Amino acid sequence: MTVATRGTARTLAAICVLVAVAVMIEPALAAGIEISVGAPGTVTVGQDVEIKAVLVQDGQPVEGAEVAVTYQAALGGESARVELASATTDETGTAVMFYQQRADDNGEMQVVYVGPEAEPVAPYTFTIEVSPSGEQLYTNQSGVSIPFVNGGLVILVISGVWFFIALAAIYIVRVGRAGRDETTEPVTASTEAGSMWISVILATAAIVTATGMVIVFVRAPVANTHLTDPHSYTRTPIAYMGTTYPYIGFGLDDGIGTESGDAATDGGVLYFEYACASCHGLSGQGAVIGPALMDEIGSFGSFNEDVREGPKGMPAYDEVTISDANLQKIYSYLTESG
Amino acid sequence: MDTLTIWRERLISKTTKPTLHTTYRYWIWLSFLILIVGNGAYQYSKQWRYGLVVTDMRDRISWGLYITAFVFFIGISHAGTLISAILRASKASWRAPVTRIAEFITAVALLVGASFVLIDMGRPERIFNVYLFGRWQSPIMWDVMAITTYLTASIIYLYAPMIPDLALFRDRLSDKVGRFRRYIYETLAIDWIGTPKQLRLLGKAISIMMLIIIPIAVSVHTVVSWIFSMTLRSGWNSSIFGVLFVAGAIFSGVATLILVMAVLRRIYHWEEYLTQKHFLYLGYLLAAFGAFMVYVNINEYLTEGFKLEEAGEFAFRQLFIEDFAFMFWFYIIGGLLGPVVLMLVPKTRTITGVVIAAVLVDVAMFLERYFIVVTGLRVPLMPYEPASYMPTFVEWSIFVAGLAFFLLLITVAIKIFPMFAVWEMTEEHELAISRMSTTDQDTAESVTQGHTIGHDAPRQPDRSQGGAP
Amino acid sequence: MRKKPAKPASQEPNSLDVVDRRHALKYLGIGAIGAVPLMASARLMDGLVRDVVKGSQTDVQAADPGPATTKSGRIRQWSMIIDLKNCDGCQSQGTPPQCTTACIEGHLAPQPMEWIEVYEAELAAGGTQFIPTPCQQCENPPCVKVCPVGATFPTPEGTVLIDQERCIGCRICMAACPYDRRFFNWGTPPIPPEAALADYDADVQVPASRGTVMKCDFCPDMVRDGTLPFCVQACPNDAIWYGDLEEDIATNGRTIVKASKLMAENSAYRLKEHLGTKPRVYYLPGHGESVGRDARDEGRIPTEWPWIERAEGAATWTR
Repeated sequence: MTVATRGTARTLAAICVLVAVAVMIEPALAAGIEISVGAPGTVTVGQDVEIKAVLVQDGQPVEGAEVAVTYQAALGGESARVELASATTDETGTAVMFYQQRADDNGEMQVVYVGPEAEPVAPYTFTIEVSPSGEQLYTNQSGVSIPFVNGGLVILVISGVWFFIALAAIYIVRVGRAGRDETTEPVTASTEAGSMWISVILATAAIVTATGMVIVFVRAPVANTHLTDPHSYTRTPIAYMGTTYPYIGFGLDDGIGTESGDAATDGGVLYFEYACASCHGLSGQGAVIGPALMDEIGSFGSFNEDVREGPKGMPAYDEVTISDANLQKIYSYLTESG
Repeated sequence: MDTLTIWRERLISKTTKPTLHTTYRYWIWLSFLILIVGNGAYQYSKQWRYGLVVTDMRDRISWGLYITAFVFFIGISHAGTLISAILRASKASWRAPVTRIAEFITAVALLVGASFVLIDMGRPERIFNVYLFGRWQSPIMWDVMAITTYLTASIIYLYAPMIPDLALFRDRLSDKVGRFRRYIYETLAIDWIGTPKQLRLLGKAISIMMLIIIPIAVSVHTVVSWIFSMTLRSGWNSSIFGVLFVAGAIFSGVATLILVMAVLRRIYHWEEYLTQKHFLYLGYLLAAFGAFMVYVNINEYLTEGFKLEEAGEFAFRQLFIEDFAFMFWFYIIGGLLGPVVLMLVPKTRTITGVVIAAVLVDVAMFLERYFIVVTGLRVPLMPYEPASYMPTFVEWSIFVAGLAFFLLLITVAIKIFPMFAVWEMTEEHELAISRMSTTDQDTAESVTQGHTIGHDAPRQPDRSQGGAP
Repeated sequence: MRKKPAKPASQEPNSLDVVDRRHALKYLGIGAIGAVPLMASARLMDGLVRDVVKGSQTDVQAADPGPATTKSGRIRQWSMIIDLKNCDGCQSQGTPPQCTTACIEGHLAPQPMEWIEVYEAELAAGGTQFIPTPCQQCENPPCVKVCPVGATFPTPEGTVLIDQERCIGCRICMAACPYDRRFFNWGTPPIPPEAALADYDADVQVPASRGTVMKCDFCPDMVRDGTLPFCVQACPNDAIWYGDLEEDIATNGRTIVKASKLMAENSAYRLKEHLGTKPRVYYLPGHGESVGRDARDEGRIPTEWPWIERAEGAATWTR
């Protein structure tokens, strides 16, 4: 093994300095491509946006380079940069990109260099102020609406039919009445009662049937509002996308079945009610999404930390959602039954 | 006593015969039916307890024998009303002895058919949701509406022409039957004494119902067909389904009417009134509808089969040459062409021939309903092996119980209600006589008779006579 | 509420001469008077039904802020994009399809329901492809159109849910669904005893109840809460993208892309497009080639229901 000479050391030091300098001025040295962007200051949601990027290298326009415009999006607990549009520069070094403004807020936007050079190019960062329109951009267009061909028509037809049925029934009632009117001899008690009963039975049947049908007609607009009205069915409590909110699972903890006194038993119920089971398996043995809890649970401290912070895509549960006492019960369930 | 009165008295005695005389064979038959219905009820209690898992219906063939039975019975119900209404509207004079039986079949078959919808439901206890949350955009809701309307209308249509006969029974039988039936006659006859005003009002009621019931009946089975044809399934997705179902309904209705008539004629010796002519006329109707059904079927299957869309290939293979081929060809050859041939050949143009044709038609139409329901669902929608369906013992028991219940209701009705429209038959008979004789006396006599139809002893003879024109 | 039931009859032509006009008008008048309290009671009845049948629903409603929206209140439009290039039916994992398994475990779906089912379809020129098929969440849903009681309903987010507390079990929706994506509880459903603890909700469909229809619900509760549906989370190949067509983004749990761009670049299609049901589930054609599957490798491992021994008193059945 040779000892490093002075000369070697000097050479090494020089290389280090050179590398440091190169790193510091790297963007300019490596590619020398500069991006400048022309973008509107404000856009409304739904508007078509034009982003013009000009690429210049050493004062010369860069032709044939691919650039893309990205923004910061969040969905389902993920957060990432999303490419909105891309284009290739022409002979003047200009790339024009179009996209429709769909997000309410683009955050920090960037025009990034995609290729063809391998060297990294510093992205151009800018912001566009988005003014929300509140107007729905994606709507369901299915169906054809024809005037007068609707439920009202059905009601009309059925009412018409029932009108005639009722008319016939009335004639039959009048038949009976005509018979009574023309009878002068004393009517036997049973006949009288009989006539009354037939009217009562007929009337009851008619009223029940008619009421039933009228209920259907009249109630329909009220009964099925959930088909049109966004607020008419019970949802589990909701949150905005991308923000951390308590995960509710199977309709959260109403406390039922958690007063047995035995911490482990109660914990089992809570384990289910907080929907831990839906990812970690019914008894904590692990499932497709969540890992097994039984054996690897560790100390209460680390368990507590994991639940409160939510590692690796697991939703975080704060103290309001799962109280410390309840969490302790779940812990005892997992440790004692495992 | 003139000949007409003698004729009428004999008719009355024949009509009241089932009401007054009950043999031991009747009780055996009745208990047999009750036994079958009881077994059905027991099997249904199992279904109630364990759910529809006791049937062989599963996700891929989700309707089976129950819906088949529903369609079949609703079809049979067209016997009546439609036939009797059309014949009444067209003033066919031979209809009089047939109508009452036909109308009874209608009301009873409707009750049985509608109950099969309840039996098929996964949550029968939630039936009132249909009223509370009903959507009139749904074909099922149209069915509920149409069947409710039809049931109401056909009961009124059964009842209205029966009032004079009930009055007759009230007057003739009150001291010969028990309290229960006497009460029924007195109640249902609603003080019918046969005055001209009553006749006029009753005539209006009958003619309204006669006209309104034809579109109702046609709409009912069209709507039943829409349950199937409003879906996107190959084999069901057809615009001719309404016609196919309505024609098939009348077809099987006529056949059932023939069978019931034949049995009653045999048991109660009604040969004088249910003559060969009635059977032959109904047989011709059967043959005509058979030919029409052949035409509709050619329309249905040729247009589909010629193009043979993706799923159509499977549907055709299973229907024409594979699993359901026997049913299908029995239906086409035995059920549709059979009656036509039987009516064309002079040798088989007899009551026996007509009854054989009717049996063929009823069996074939049941099979048709079955294979329409099952083959439509069996065509795979996604890449999976086609499912199979074989009704379980529970399903067969309940179906047979439905059949037995249908017969039971008719069996019971025979003992209570007049099965012949005595007053209408008398009217027709009178007309026939007056057409033959031209003497003034006969005419005058018939006019006088006309006022007291269905009533032997008017309670107020003076006024009713005085009101005569 | 719009029409008085008695009113239409007056427009009926007097085709029968037996109809006495004077009487007809009289009866109509009575009918019209009768209709007023009936209509008034309809609202009343609705409240009654809510309180009695559905318990204290009003309280829950007060807490219900409505559908998932963007910050400016535009309603999210859920959709799914399934990349068949990445789906090998979990052949390489040596497990049953993980999307199905996770869905079953997460929803406690009774045996034999596979709300997202991995079908193996023949390719036109030999070989097979795997098609994970959740409910297609049609925009023109045949099932909703036929339901007699409004038990299955579209949500503003564009998904179709089932209210099992209203379902009467007539099964016409199953006949109407052209994708075989509806499942019926033929008997007492085989679910673990714990499921009885859950508060029923159309969003989660737990616990399952006998005699009602169930299907994939697109996990609306999970996405609203900031996680992804079970199937998306569980897919080892990131083949399932869950997206919002309103903001035009989709995520597979690893990254986020512009949904329309992903679909356009990969020639997305929908199942049975000719039926006009307009599904919200899009497919990117393929047969698992991106994860190294040969189209001639056939077969996948059948799905299992882990708690089947624990479901006491329940019946199982086959599809």
